[in-house]
Order: sequence, then C-alpha cells, then structure tokens
Amino acid sequence: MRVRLSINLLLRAGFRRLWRSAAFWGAVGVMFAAAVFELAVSYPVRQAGLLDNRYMIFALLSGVVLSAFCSLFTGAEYSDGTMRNKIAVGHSRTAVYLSNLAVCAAAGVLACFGYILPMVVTGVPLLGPFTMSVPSLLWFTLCAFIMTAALCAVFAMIAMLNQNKAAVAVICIFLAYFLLFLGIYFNSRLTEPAIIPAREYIESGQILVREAMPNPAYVQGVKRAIFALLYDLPGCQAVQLVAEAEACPVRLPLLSLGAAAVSTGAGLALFRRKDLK
Amino acid sequence: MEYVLKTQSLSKAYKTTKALDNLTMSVEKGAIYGFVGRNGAGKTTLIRLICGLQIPTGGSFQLYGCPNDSREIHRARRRMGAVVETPAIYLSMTAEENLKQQYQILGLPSYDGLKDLLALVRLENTGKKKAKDFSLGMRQRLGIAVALAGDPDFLILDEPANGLDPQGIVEIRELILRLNRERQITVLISSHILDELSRLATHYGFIDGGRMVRELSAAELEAACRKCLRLTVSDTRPLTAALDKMGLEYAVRSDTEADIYDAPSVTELTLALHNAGCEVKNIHEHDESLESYYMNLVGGDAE
Repeated sequence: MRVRLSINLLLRAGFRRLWRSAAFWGAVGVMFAAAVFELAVSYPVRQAGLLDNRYMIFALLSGVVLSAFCSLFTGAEYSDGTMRNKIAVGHSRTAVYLSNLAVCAAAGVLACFGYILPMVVTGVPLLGPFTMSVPSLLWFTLCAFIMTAALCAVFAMIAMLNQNKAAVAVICIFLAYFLLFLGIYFNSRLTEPAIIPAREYIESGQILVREAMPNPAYVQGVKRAIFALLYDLPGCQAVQLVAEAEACPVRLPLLSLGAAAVSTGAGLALFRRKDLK
Repeated sequence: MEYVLKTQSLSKAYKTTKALDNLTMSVEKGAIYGFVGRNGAGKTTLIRLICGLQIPTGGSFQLYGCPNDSREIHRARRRMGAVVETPAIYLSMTAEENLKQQYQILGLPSYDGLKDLLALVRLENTGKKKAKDFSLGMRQRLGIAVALAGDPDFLILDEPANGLDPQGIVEIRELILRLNRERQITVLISSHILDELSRLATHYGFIDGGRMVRELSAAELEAACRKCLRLTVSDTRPLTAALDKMGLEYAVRSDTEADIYDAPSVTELTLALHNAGCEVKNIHEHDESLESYYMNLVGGDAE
C-alpha cells in the first residue's frame, strides 16, 4: 500500500507521541505544581494586584521547563533511533525538522496552560480579581506564548543538531537559566536611574543636603544599546515581559518571531546537511 | 535483470577517513544479498547512505532505478524498510504502540494488518509490556516489524544477529527466509557472522576498506568453495590430457596446480598421471568454507 506522505503525517504522529510522552506530562506537572505553590504561599498575604503578579510568573518558568522538555522529547528520537524511521521511509528532512518544532512549540504553550488554568480558576476566588485590564492580560499572555515558542525553536534547533541527548539537556537547561539570569541582570542595570536625586540626611545631629548627582551605575552609550538589545532576546525578554506587563512593547513578540525564524532557518540549513547515525 | 539497488563508485569520506571508496554493487530483485565485511569495512555507512541518513561525497546510487540526487528518491524510499544498527523503536511504548506510531508516520489509513505483523514477528502476546523491558531479540524483531509496517519490497537489515542468543539468531533467520519466500521481499543483510549468512544469502558482496572486493551469487560461491582434490604437479598440460581421458571434472588454477571435483580413486589417478609423464608433487583434499574464502579474499587478518 502506497500512501501520500507529508508533514501532516509527521505532525499527527508527533502529537500522538506527545500525548503519551512522560516528558510532556512532567512539564505540565511542574507548571501546575508551580501554580499551586504560588497560590499556597500567596493566600495568607492576599491583596489587590497580587494575582496579576503571580499569574505572570509562568513567563519566567516556561523557558527553564521547556529546555528540559525539548531536549528529552527530541533527544529520544536520536537515543531510540526513531529519527531514522522517518527519514528511511522517505520523509524529507525539512518535514521532519518542522514537524518536530511545531510539536515542541505546541507542547510549550500547552505546558503554560498547566500554570495558567489553576491560577485563573482558583486564583480569582482565592486572591481576588485581576487588576490588569483583560486586553492587557491577553496581550501579555500572547507575548509570553510567542516568546515560549521562540525559545522552543532555539531548543529544538540545539536538540536536532546534536545527537547526544544528555549533552543537549545540559546545554538547553544551562542556556535557559543563563538567559533568565542575564535578563534579571539587564533589568537591574537598565532600570538604574541616570541621576541620583538630592536627599537630606542627618549626620552628627545636623541636617545635611546631598545634591543630585549622576549615577555611576547608570549604563549609557553603546553599552546601553547592546544591553537593551540583548534584554529583548527571548529568555531575557521574560523578565522584561513581567516588568512591563501592563503595556508589553510590540517589538518583543516581533523580536521573538525573528529569533524563531533565524534559529529555524539556521537549524534547517544545518540539519539538511547533517550526517545522522 | 531487475535491480532494486545499484551503486556506482559510491564514496563517503568523513573528516579524516574514507568510509566508502568507489563502491559499486547491484542487488537483484528477490535476492537475499549478504553484505560481508569486518567491523569498519563500510557496511553501515553504505546502509546509512541508502536510507538517506547521510549524503555521499562521491559516486551515486539508484533505488528502484531512481537516482539518489533525484527528488523522486523520497518516493522510492517509501518502498523500503530498514533496521540500521540498533532497532529504531520507542522504548517507552509497547510493541503495538510502536507499530501504531509507525503506521501514523507512514500515513496508513487504518491499523489493519497490525496484529498480523505482530504475529509475524511473534510479539502478539507482549500486551502492555514496554519495549524497554524487552529482550534484545524481541527488540530486534520489533524493529523488523516497524520496518515492515509500510509493506516494503526491500528490507535492509544491519547486523540483525548482533548480540542475539542462538535461539534468537534462528528466529531472525527464519523470519528473513519467510519474508523473502512468502512476501518476495528483497533483503540486503549486512553481517560478519559468516556461518549465519551462508544459511540465508542468495548473493554476496564482500567489502573491505570501503571497497567492494568481490560480488558473486551463492551458486558461484558454492562452486568456488566446492570440495575437491587439489593437485600440485610438474606440468598441467599432461594432467589435463589425462583427466579428459578419465572424464573427470576439473579446473586448472595455474601451470602447476589444478582442482578435481569428482572423487576419483587416488591410485588410478596417480597411475594415469605417471603414465602421462606428469609428476605429482602434492595432493590434498580442499574444502573451503565461506569463512576461509572470505579470509583469503580480504587478506587473512579478518575477525
């Protein structure tokens, strides 16, 4: 029996495997557990705006969780040897790469729902309503999903180009943490004020006034431009998304889409020429 | 003659090594082609190239007449099933789930025939046992079942007996023979277990250092390995005259050496040669196995 093969077949097979994947349910479970934890520690100190703050945490978590998921899910194709089954029966490498990327990105967004659903369903009655407007909340969520998909594209590229599952897991998890901490660092440096304001202080019983002065920690010039550019990258961007949640700049999802396109293009070009074992 | 696979001067070089060096071979339709060579000879590299896992650095091959650089090669590969090195199966899935997964990859419209396929490889009673808990033989059979999921005409098996116990080897052999005889599947089987291969193969290709050393049919190999009397004489001209007179089947190997395939009386033979003026310097029974044939072919230091 000869049947028409296409990327759709690989997508269907990929989602079928995803549904049975322990790595996927593990990722959903970690996100769910994080939501439950956040609710549990927030409940005693509930106050207006706390739910918004807790809700946004999934954007910070998704990169780390998905780095482990993508490396395990894609790495299994190499460690179990099943990548060969797809190529040996005539599927093109482009179809194999793109279908894997699509499944990983979809899994990333679905894993985020593992956090979002319990946070919304039980968070509102427990912590009170969101203070952010619904459009702002939806825009933030969309931006976070796009960033998650972009991170999946980067992790999928690493996993598709390296046949060592353990090495891929280490690289992806390290990268996810590195980007997150880099984001926190850039956030702290870029939010430094340019001027330290004048202030009064008491010394030896006398009231003294310190004049406003330039902040030596303020980053400026080319260095600031580089920091700002890197701060926009997916991963680092998670910190910025949370910091500017009420009005996420449009450039952030656009940059995420750009990063996804670049990593997918580069990954595809290399994967098509790669010698597989 | 219809060929499933033909390679022309196929080469594959890695950074520092040449894994395949101008390899030319042909696999006839319906054959069980035994691909023989020591470890590192290039057997698996050839299989990877045919399966599209790697790209040749020189030469070409045709699969069902379709050149490897043609867009249609993907279509030709759909007629093929392969087990390359280790069985390619999801260890976290059961045998049935693995087959269903491959059915999805192939886009088969239903799971019809899945139970039959499991029965064919004798894995129909594995139930919910996951592949990671299978024995090596069971995994190997499941790998073959996955390769057979698309009902291929051409099956490629890379060292299928590797690591199997004697019973597992017999089971795989019987399965391959059944597939070839009952389903007319052409099989390319790479191995360095020569005794096992000699029970299966209808054609042989001997590879060493990435080069095809010799390609021959099982009948030709049998003739080459046929039991005979090997004589070393002073001159083969009087010898051939005497052998013709006696009506014996023979083959002259050199000016001083010949093989006699019938089983003549040694006394009658030596008397006849003496009368023909031919001095017999040495006479011994020669019975070459596939193993010794291979050793002679590749230089003797084979595994």
